[in-house]
Amino acid sequence: MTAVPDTSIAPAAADRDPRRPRRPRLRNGYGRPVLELVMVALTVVYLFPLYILVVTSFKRPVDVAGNPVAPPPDLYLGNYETAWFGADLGRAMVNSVVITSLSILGAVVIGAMAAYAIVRGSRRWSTPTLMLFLLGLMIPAQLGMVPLYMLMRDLGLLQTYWSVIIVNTGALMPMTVFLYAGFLRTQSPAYEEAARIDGATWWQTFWRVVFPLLRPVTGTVVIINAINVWNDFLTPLLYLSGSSSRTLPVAVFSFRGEYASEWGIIFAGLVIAALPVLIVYFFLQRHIIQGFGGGLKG
Amino acid sequence: MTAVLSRGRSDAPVRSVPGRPAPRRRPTVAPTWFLLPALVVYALVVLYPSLAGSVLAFTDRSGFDPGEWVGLANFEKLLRDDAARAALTNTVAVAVVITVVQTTLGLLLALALNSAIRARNLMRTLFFAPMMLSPIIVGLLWQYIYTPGGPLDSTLEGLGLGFLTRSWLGSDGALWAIVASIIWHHVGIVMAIYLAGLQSIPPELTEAAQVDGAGAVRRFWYVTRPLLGQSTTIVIALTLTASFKLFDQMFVMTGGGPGVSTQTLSLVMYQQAFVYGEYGYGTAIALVLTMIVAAVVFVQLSITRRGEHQV
Amino acid sequence: MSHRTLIRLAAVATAATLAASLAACASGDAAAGDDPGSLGGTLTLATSSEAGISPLLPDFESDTGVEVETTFAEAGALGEQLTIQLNAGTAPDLFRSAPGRAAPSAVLNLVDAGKLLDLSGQPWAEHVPSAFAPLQEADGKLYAYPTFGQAILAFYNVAAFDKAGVEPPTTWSELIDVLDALKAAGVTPLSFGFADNYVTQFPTYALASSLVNGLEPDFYDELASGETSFAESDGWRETFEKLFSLIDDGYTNADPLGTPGDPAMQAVGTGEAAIVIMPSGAAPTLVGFVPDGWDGLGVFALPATDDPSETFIPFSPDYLVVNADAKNRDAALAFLEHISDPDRASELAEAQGAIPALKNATPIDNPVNESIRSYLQEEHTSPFQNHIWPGGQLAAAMMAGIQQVIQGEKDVDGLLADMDAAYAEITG
Repeated sequence: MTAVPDTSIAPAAADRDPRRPRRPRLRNGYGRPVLELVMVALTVVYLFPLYILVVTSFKRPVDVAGNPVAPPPDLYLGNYETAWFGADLGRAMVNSVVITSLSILGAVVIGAMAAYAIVRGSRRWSTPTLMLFLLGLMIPAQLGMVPLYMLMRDLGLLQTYWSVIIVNTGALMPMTVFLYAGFLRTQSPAYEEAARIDGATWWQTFWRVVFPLLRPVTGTVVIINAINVWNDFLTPLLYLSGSSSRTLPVAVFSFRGEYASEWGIIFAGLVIAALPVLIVYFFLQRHIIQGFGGGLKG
Repeated sequence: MTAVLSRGRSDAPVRSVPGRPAPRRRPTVAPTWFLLPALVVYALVVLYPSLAGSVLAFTDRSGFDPGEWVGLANFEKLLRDDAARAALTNTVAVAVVITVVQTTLGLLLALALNSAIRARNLMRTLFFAPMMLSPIIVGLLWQYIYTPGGPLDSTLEGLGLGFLTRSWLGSDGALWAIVASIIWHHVGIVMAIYLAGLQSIPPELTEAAQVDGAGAVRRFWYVTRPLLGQSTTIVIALTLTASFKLFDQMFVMTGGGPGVSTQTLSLVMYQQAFVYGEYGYGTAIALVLTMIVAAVVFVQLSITRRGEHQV
Repeated sequence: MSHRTLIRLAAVATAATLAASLAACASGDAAAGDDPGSLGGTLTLATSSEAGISPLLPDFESDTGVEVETTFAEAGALGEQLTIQLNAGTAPDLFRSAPGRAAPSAVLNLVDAGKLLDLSGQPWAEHVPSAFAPLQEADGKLYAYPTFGQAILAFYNVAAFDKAGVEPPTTWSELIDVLDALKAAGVTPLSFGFADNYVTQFPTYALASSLVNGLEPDFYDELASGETSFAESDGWRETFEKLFSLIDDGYTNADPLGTPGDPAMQAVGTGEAAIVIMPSGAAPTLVGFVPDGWDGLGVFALPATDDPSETFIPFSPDYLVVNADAKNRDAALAFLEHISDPDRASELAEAQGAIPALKNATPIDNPVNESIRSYLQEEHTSPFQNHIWPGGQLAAAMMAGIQQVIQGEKDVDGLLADMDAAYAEITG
């Protein structure tokens, strides 16, 4: 189903599209001040945990032991200093960026192609193939952890970025194919058919005509997968042991001791680790939420 | 998801839109080799290792001992294992509660933020933001928030609600305290899916109902709600698969305690395989978990799909 | 800019270079050992914390020409990773291992699987305390290097003790008097952070060290031969009865099960509570919570009987072990020899908030070390109980059982029965 005829327009633009006046419809009128008040209150409550996270990261251990809700007495940056230099977070961030972007690049390219073959390909195979991919959403990662590690060893990929990138790309396939296939179903094949009639090869048709049409859902695929890869702890720990290539979560959690944790330092590390994703999110938020719908509905 | 799964059915929920052909006919067939790269990587990383791992469920492999074939002994042990049974009950309860509460809250948020209130874009962003944090971060943060006399308690006392303070992680209620933190973490994605669904409803429909004199509640129930059927299907399928596999939050916040009151199947599986080195038994639990999730999700899909068709 | 840094930059720039350069990294380091007389090559090392280890690396690297590649991760995650790597034959040359059989990757389990190198002939072997033997030896051979020792001790807020006008107790009766006085002074006497289930072990082991290992020295031999059980042991029963009496009689924070370990330590830091029972490794974190640092914090051994000479303290080592299939065995052995130097062994322990494990290590003058020196000299120590136990299930059963007793869902008999059942399951 769809009620959005012009999906080729980037969602950010669609929101401002003059052909689709949204304001009048939204002016339902009654109860608005009350609703606004309720929502503001709810937002404040909802932000409370994030407030605690940030405030604690600026506290000395002695202040952490004091009033938990109070703001820090001064802008103490020691935790950030310790986390950044002590855990070499700068280098870890570069590693995380490289691994995350290459993993997602891989997932987007091969996932979109697979979804296209499923939706527009041979009817007989499409449903079983899609089911096979969906099964991946239900399998706990631990089930195949040991055999997968042995496989990477036999391929000689341990302690290389490639092992993590391949593992991530494979693990992202179910969600990626699911999102792309769902979106493709809602798209008319008219453009591709026109391209085919004009003599374009399948390869050209896909990359020049179909893939650009997938832009809204690609935003969704990228952000959902980025969250998962960026935050993953065990895969990089296992495949990249050796501090020169550790990722952000691995570096941050090296501050968790066996018997005690340095809250201030860990929280500072967590804020640093979350910031890049949050910044990307804040700039793309409209795109992301819209893309979500584009990708998930249908 | 529904539309994808119901391909080829003549009653597929496709509402025709003027100027756009319904995608029923397929005059050209995309080449199958497009599937290959994804299938190869997926088979290599997920299918083959999971199958190879599943074989362990029928052995008594432990530690560095390769173990021997024991048939179904691990599954029989599972039936007798009180801790595993308690974990199964918790897992199911958590999945049901999270699915119901998170879906309802996410829908309410989406409805509120789809109206013309001020700062709705900012609010949408803020409600989605926790999704960006890793489950381990969220677990650590909430463990700290729930500390007796900690952030939550002192805030409640500051608001004169001191009578509400309680042992958040130290009682049988600990499971629900953890569930609350998970809903805080994930409700944003439900909101986002419903927002997208709401924005695809043609405004003429609700306006027509308004002209006919239908109140907000009736408009929601008779016009909006049925059109959100597919969003609901997706939300529930995603929430169910995620909540059956919950691990990090329990692992970080309580480790399954107090006693066994926050044990889940994922946690029991992890402890058996990696803390005790009982790979055979741990794998058997993982296999059972996979089958439960697959069964529940496919039943859910067929039920909600039927619901959508009544529209 | 070093060769390796350049490689790393190139790796970021293009994916193609990445593949080639990482392949080079994996194999190309052997060239580093050209300097005659030095060992050279790469030594891979994985342990749970960089505190203490990292400062010792530069000297070693410049002395030997060996380049050390380190992995640091929290003990649980590290053990998980090492187990998989050992199965796959890709484990580091030198790595951290838990004593006894506490985890799948603990020393004795690895010895059984033939994964560890015999270290009996090493120059430092004669300085390893004999009390550690059951945790690291098999067939009379030594398989582990004790990096430092952890003791479970009672840490107290000095200001809170001054306020109540009390001194550290040396007997159980004195302890109760102290707790009463603290309570009367408006201070929470004991801070238990049992929401983190592993914390339940610390006061339990502190009591059991005196009541079981001290008073029933043959308990574990008899348990192994089937002559006794946890349920039949007076020492274990008394351990749990005393532990729960502290909670039932109102000497602890109101909600031990709802309080995680770190906030429990913070409460002692602020003086809101007086005493917390933790391993010495938690001391550096704990001190951070006390406004006056070490001046505001005291340490004593937790008494469990009314005879001060019967007090034992839990004292267990942390280990580094050498992979039997180490790629750079010589470097691994040289590294252990390097850090076994009396001053270095002491530096490492101090950075960990721990006690030097080797007998010849330079003594450290800080409250933790001073408080336990006499116990070490009299050999009034025992390993942490879970390090003697045959598998992780037993500790898990005990931790869950303790929480259930506090919740009122079980009694001490039920807890002891659970432990016997877990023991039978592991050994049977």
